[in-house]
Amino acid sequence: MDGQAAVTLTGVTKKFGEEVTAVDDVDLEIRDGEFFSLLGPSGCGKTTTLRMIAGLEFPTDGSVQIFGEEMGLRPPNKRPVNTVFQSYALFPHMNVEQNVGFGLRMQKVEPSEIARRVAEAIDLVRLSGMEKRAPNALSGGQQQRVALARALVNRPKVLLLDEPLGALDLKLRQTMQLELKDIQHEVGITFVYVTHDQEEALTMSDRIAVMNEGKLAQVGMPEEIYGSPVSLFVAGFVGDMFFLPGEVAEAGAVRLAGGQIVRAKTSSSPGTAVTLTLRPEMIHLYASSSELPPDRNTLDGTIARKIFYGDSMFYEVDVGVVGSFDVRVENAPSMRRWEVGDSVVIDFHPESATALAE
Amino acid sequence: MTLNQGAAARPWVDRILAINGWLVFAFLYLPILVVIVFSFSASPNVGIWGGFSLHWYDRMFGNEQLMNALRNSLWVAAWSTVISTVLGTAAALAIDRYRRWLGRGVFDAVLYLPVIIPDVTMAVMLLMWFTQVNITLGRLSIILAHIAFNISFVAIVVRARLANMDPAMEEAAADLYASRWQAFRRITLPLIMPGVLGGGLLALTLSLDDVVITSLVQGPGSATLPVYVFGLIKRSVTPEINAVSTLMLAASIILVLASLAFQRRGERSG
Repeated sequence: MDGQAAVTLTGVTKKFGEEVTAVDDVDLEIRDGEFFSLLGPSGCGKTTTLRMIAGLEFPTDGSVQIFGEEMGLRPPNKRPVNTVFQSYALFPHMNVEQNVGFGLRMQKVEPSEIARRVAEAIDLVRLSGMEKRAPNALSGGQQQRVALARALVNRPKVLLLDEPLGALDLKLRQTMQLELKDIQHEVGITFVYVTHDQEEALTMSDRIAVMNEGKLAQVGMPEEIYGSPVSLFVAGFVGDMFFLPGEVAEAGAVRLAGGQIVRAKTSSSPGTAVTLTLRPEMIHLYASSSELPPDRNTLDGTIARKIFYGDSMFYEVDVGVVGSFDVRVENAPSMRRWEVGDSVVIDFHPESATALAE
Repeated sequence: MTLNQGAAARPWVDRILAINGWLVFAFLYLPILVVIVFSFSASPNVGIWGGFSLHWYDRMFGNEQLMNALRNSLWVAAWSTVISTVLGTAAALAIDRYRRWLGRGVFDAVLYLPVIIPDVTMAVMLLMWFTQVNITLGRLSIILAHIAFNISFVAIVVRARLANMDPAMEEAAADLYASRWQAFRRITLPLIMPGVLGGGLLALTLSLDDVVITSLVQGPGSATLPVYVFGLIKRSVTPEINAVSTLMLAASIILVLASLAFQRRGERSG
């Protein structure tokens, strides 16, 4: 990652008709060599953004640059990018080899060169031996690899992927996630990856742009997005999260609905209504606050329900008006067991709690 | 198991249904069979078997008027099929491509109209139009009339094919450096080809079979085969007509089967 911009979006807006604004004034810089994800719920504008980079849609306003070059109204066949489509869009009347070689044939590359590069690409996605197969004689995962090879064989400066793993089952998806990451390392080009699956984005990306209603909600590394969400939308969309209503009591302290004062990261001024966000894995249960290290946040509660899950125990802890917490505790032999009705103390570190205003 | 037991308990229901099925088939196909059989009869009387003979086929091929009608039919069918297939395919592509186009619904309705309105109405409309713009009634007016109704059929068949096509196909071609023309030539056209061929064969069949419209827009000496046969029947039914009918039936069956085969093959590969 040398920091050079592979794709630069400046004030990019896309309107469909008068009413629908799919992408709203997006500024984004994707660096060279990066695995960059556009993450968001369906209809958030992530696919439209990708299509504008590909040239399949043109911005209503703003500019798209690829390695410093203004794309304007340049059609997709004149852009140094290739796309892996969500439906793969493999040509059914061509075999694997012909599909992969299509882009090179259109660019009038020498036949011997085409043969060499096609073989190389098919080898890269580990489909050797399947060259003569028709696309519909392949499994979903294999079709996905053909689509990948068909795009990569052209050595694009940027590879665009539109939910490429969406049609695969969970197990295959996880294998392909790792494989995609490996391939990206091997070819060393910029990947722009559209997904609605936050886990996928977290595990694969160097950086993530979370989108909502056509706007960028947050851009950052997976750890930043997960650990320090800047808005309630990002907090709720990425990972599991507890939301506790309250208000800022003083700098770095929040008063919860039950009057308890806890310390948390906040940038809002005292008196502001905020929502305290808290990751479930940051919560621990103790019998009393005397067992705790100093400087921790505590809330008193009662065990309302317990469920045995084999590898873990699930407890629902009732904390009065503040709400109830679902806590999962791993079943290690040293772990304390609680019974319904037991009084417990919920503990969390001030650094793991963020108070966000609306 | 339960189903099998039920069927075994009421075998007579099955038997009645089977008999009904055979009766329906007999009702539909016996008359056709009669025509075919008597086309090979040596007797000059229709309906009386006079031993096997190819006499009527021989007479048919020697009938100058009939042969002229056959030539007219083939000429009209060939031109109207080629032109309506090209125009119908273009229309289907245009309607499919510009989904957001204002007035697409109207265009749609207009396209379906020739399929829906009665042949007689269409024939009268065309006849009036031909007189208005001074087109001499003859082969040309018949070809134009056949194109007019065939475009719709071709467009409908091709559109069904296009509707099943992933719109990302053309985008993928463009993304892989194909120009618009290359994308159409290398991707879209091969993928809709079964629909185009199927639509074309349908057009050919309809053109060869049409009586009502053709008989109103024909000119002297331009009668097509079915129109000529229709005229013959008004005078007398001869075994010669049986021979003509048998050949037309064979040609129609071959065309329809070919049309179906193309569309089927397309479904599998699509």
